[in-house]
Amino acid sequence: MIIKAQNITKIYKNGDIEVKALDNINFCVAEKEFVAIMGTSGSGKSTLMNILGCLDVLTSGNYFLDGQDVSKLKSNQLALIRNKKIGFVFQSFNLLPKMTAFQNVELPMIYANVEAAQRKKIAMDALTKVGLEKRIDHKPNEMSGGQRQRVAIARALVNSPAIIFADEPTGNLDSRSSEEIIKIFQDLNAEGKTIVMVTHESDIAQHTKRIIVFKDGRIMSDAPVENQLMVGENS
Amino acid sequence: MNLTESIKSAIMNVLANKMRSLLTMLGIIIGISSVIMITSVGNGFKKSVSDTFSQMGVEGIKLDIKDDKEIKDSDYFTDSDISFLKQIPDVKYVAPCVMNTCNVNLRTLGNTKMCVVLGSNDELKYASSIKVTSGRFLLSKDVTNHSSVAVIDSLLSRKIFGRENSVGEKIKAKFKNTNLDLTVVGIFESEDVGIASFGMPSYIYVPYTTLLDVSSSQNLDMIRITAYDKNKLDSLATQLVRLLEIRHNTSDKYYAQNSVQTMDTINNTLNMITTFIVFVAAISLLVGGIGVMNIMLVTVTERTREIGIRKSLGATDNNIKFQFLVEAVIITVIGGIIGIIVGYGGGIVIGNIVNIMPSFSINSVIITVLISSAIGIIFGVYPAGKAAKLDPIEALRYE
Repeated sequence: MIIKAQNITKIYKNGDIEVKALDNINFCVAEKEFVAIMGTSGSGKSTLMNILGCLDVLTSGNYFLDGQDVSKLKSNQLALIRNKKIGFVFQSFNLLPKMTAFQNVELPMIYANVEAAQRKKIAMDALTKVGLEKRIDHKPNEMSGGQRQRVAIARALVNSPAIIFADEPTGNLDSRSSEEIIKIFQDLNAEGKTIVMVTHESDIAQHTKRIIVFKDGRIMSDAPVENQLMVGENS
Repeated sequence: MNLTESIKSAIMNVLANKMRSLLTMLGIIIGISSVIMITSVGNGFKKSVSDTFSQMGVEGIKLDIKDDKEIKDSDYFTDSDISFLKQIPDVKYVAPCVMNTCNVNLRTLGNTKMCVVLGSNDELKYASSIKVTSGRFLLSKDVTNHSSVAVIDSLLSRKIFGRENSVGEKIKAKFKNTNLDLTVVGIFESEDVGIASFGMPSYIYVPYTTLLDVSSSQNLDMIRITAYDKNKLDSLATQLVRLLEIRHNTSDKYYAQNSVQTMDTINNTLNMITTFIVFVAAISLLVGGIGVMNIMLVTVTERTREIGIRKSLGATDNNIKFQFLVEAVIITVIGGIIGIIVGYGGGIVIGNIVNIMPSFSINSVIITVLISSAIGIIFGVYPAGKAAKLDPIEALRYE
């Protein structure tokens, strides 16, 4: 199991008022799965993403990532987990604006203390994989949204993480770019990558293999996708 | 993340905001350059003082009468003290000093100039830094014969006769009660003492016996001693003072000053002045450091999102703290290096104006770089800590 969530509860305290953002969540994600997490805003899906992505800590329960209990780890140990086991793809790309595509992709490996020569090779491979081998010296503002998100995906791949978390990866993109991105995710999944993607668009979710729907901090439904849409088949 | 990567990334960020970085550095540049300027000129002056003293021979002792004591006639040094001191085994040369003033006619300008007349003997040549350029210095026979001969400095020669070499010419010296015709037998080199030469009196050396003849008293003002062994200077000085006190049947009237002490006194005074000015300059370094902290705090706020992104990619709190600390240090060290260059340039300019060769040392460069790094660390710690403590989720949401 890549993800094993046991009774995960997250409570935000705002003065005297307690808000239960996640209420006793239980679910697992196995290796090579491609899961979509859906829900309206306020459903708790973002909170779950933050906890699963080791950016936030849970109030109670247990969270095992790649077999390791990460629910009790300190901030520096969580940083290490994020670096080695997790690849993030965000809605707003979150690339560093002053760095080139290559430098952005290289960054996680710098924190992982990978040697420069090897960094270069891995970063080039990752950028080639997302079809940006000719754009390595471009800065984010010199690229289209789809290209930026592809740089972000390349960056998520370089430390060979156990899982990729994508938070509304197509939210800022037009439909053509969205398809490109989904295609990359499907290809990565076919190669054996485990992917968890938050989205509120059901047609995007239909491209995954399993959909978990959240409402008010609980799981409403959790079902496999019967007929997974594959990019390039219908259009 | 290793040091090289941190430095690379820090330099990139410093260069990304050139104008701001430069303005931030300005406080450091001003502080460092003024410290460098002051210490280099101060050290240059110290060096010139010690050079002057080493020319004079540091093995000298000056025997003098205390100013603040009631002095009887019998307390003054006399001619017989000279011959007495010469018999002491450790003493190499003994030169008496009698001081007086006179007016001489300036042939070129038609007016008169007041000169300091120093009466001494041939041995003064070894007990001071006088360099005879033409003619000769006083001889022992000049002293025994009470000869009317004079050794004058080249500057005075130029003033009186219009040329530097006036050996064989006569000077009309007007003393208080009497006049004396002196034959110039030697010229000595005017000392170039830089800024101090302005308004300095001209010196005329004559045999002390000759000078005593035109003076109202037979007292010697001072005695200069040269020792065989300069390591024994302190004990010899004490011994000589005691012997002279016994001879004059008095106590606590004389003091001995050796040139090493004199040099120490000058250096101590200079050190105090330098320390004071450096302290003032250090305040500007403090202000500069606060400026660095201010800008770093602004930078941290501006780059909140970047910090969030880095954290999401696996940067630890320490990675972030280190990154900002390195940036602060890079700013202060670059400021420090510019400060060194500006300070040295300023030192050379000031040195030229006051005629002192400024003294630069590699040590001061190393110390400066260390100090500027320290400023970077001290004033960078707080902003860097603030950056490290940012919550990654909050930071990622920051617009």
